[in-house]
Amino acid sequence: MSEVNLLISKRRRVLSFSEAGRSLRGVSLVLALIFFVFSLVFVFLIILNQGKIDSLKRSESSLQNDLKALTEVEEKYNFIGDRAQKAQVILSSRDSLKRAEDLKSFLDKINSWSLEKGEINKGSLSFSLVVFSYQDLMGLLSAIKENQNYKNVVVDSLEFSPSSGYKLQLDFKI
Amino acid sequence: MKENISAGSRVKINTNTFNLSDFVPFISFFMFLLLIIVVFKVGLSKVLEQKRTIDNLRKKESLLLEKKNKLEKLNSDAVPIYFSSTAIFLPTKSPILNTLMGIKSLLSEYVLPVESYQVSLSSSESAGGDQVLTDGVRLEVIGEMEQVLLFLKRVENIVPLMSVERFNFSSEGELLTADLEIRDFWSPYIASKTAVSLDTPLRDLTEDEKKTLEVLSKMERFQFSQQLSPTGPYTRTNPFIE
Repeated sequence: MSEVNLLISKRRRVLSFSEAGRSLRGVSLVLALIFFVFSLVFVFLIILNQGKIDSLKRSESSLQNDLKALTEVEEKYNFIGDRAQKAQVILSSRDSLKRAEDLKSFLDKINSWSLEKGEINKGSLSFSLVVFSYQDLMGLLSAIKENQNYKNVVVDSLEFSPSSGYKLQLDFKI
Repeated sequence: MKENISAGSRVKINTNTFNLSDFVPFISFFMFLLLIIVVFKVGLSKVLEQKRTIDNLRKKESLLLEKKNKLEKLNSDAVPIYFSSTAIFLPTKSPILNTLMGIKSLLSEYVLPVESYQVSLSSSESAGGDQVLTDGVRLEVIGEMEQVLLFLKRVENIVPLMSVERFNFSSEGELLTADLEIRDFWSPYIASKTAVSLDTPLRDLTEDEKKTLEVLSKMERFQFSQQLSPTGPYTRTNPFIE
């Protein structure tokens, strides 16, 4: 069948719309192809990832079961940690025996002495004693000077009597 | 190509500018474009979401695996070594009886007669929580300075943990009259407070805490009871058979 176009030439240009449409068919085909490729790729990736997720969830669930079986060990370990933490504080706060050992170290440096009384508390030491000779007095004072454990050492009193010797009252503070 | 039109032949005369069929390629073009955008957006967001989930699951898995390995290792070394000793050196209940027995044994070992003693207890209800509580034992003993110091040194080296709080003395010749205050320590353990979810990582013991455990594990323990080893079996004689 023959086709006769009776439209004026200006109107014919409008027909390029239908020609453009015809050429778009090719582009649409390409787009359709891209759409299908994209869809396939995404579906493939989603299935692949879902498989990984399922496997990881299974592994996590198995690990959680293992950890549940080890709950008692964890409890015991937490208990050990708790005790160690508290024991550390207690051990670091123990102090009185160190003061007593300091007192003994002072007395070890002198030959003759007589301890009268003393008080040892946390962070403090005070005692009164009698030393019988000047050498012992100097020995005691040099031992105290050598000891670096105390910030303040106060000689509260120092008495001398020719019959008994030197009577000292000392007060130590950390 | 020119065609001859003769009489009687059928001729189609095109007078319309647009045909409906001309729109189909445009519609399909935009439709596919739209579909690509939608698929890309939805697919990408889903894949990214899955990627995030995988990353989170992998992190969690490695965390759980690390924790599991650590707990298995602890189960074979640190826990069996330290658990029983920690329960003794800082018990969950007042160890006052053990403390008194320990002090009594040491006093007799160092020949230090007791003039008087006083015991003060603290209760967990009054303090509350899992803080460290103390019981106090106040003693007045008589002995030589050297012996008293050795006694105090031993007191601080036995379990349960004890501390010499006060040591006042007055001297009468060679002998000291010592007024001592010794404290023991205990702390209730509230397991629910420290119980945590499975994926919470374990807190590692610090170096100082490990050293403390080492020190404590070497401390002296008193045996207050003697374990009897089983003897026998004995053959039973049947009284009905001669």
